[in-house]
Amino acid sequence: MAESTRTGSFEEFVLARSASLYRTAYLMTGRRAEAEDLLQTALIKLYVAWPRASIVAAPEAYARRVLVNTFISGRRPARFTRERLVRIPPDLAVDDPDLDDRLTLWPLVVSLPPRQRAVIVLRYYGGLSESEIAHALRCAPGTVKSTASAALRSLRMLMGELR
Amino acid sequence: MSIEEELRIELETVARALPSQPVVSVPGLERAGRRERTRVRATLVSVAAAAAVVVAVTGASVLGRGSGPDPAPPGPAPSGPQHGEPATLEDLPVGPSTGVPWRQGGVWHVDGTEIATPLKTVVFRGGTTLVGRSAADGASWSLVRDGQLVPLVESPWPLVPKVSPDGSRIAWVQEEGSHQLGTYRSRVHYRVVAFDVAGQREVGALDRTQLVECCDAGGSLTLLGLNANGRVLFGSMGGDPVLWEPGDGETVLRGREADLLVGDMWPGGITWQEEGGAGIMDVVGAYGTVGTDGTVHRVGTMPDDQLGRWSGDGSAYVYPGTSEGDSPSKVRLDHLWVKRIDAQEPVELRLPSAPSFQVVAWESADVVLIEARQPYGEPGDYEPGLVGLVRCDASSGDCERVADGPTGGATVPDLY
Repeated sequence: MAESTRTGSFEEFVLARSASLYRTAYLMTGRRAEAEDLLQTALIKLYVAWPRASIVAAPEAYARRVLVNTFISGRRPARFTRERLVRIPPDLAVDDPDLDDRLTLWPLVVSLPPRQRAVIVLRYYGGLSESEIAHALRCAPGTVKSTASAALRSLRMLMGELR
Repeated sequence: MSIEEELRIELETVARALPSQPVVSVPGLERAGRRERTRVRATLVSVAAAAAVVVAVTGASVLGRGSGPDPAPPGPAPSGPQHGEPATLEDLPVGPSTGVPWRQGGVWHVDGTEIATPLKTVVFRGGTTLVGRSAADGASWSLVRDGQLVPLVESPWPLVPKVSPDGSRIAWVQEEGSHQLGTYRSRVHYRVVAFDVAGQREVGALDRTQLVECCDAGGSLTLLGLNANGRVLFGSMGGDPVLWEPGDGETVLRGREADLLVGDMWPGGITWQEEGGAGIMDVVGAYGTVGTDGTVHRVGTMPDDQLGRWSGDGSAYVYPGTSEGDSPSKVRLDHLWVKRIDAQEPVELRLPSAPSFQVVAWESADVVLIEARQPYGEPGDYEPGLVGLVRCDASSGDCERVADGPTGGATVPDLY
């Protein structure tokens, strides 16, 4: 087996890809504050794993996998969720985007269970294939297919109730 | 329009409404990541490992003074009314300068000497100072001896050494290389090194190979700490922790799980996190010794399990917040307390209500060094200026200002 080689630095990766990861995090959580927490948690985990993450073929896929699994697990380790006392109180609350009232599907996407939401976001925002989503979710492609199908069925049903 | 096409459009619309770039501080992530590597990930290792550290250490022997280069400056003299709180920082008397390192203007000030170096990070304990750097692209650490930098370790991987409570021994875990086993698994080669400060030489090294998994670095080897006897404790998430006495073999610890090792180990043994407290989700910190069979003997609980610091001899614990160690969320740390393990009640350090105070390090078994910083800055100002250093007597709570100390944007040791 060949010795692995490195590509890029952690800082370069964060600067280049954090915006993309943040958008994915927001679409999964539906709230800016939670998306920021999720992104930070994922990037800290990524930093810890960077010596290995930086030598895989696609660090972003690795980072996305961390992000998605952290989101789906629904629970972060206590060290990430426990409040830390700081010298300066945290930032003021941030407003979520003022979205157009004409958006009808987005509120329904947010109401989906986490795994279904993740599949929808990765498929229709991230443009990932079923096998790529399966890789990110650590499940079989068939599971992605059935999860997506269930999510779309729920969305259609919810849309029908609205209309 | 199909529902799939609607989804694409709406998700893209929502995403575009977000700021183009999230507020991400790479240095902040790296700091948190380093702490995660060195402190918190270690907590995932069973306390049993930590217990082993203590195997050879009895509670009584732990409390004896270490033989290392721990500086012992005189504590502050009682100032003014014995139990009055000083109104301002200026009301505190001025004491001698400190041997605890600090950096300003690119120069480290270590025990009266000045060292100019680009190495910005410091590890200090028991009078021993290391300066270096550790980032995703590698690490470099030097030992400060007699005003000179003695190169300690260079690594293409991140690493942060730890110092024993008495400052006599250093240890670190360095990666020696890895082989990818598929996309998300690696075989990583580690070397655990123990270094004697007085002799300025390695006193032992162990080689280990671990299977490390995506996505949380599970399986990676972590240095958990050194105990008062200089024994080294290391372990991996999901693996058996090992207590290593260089030159005298290793002990694999088993049989204790679920407890979490917390950041600052009791020098007399181990510290772990366990369920407890008033609320259903509350946790408390506990500390104890370990018998020769690896059994943990619980000695007591700490008022706070994460934010405090044990004195080098393990006799006292300084912590912020309330006397009970509560850490309500989003509250500043305006009060500091010292709890001696042989005392019923903690002593509050007698500091003014402003500026803000935070523990830097123990100068000796009885004296703790505090940094005073401006409490609030403008939004986005995450590094309020250092006003000065304060020294407090752990028994009386009396404090004094440190002469010739750093101010402004200086660097001082932190608790990790």
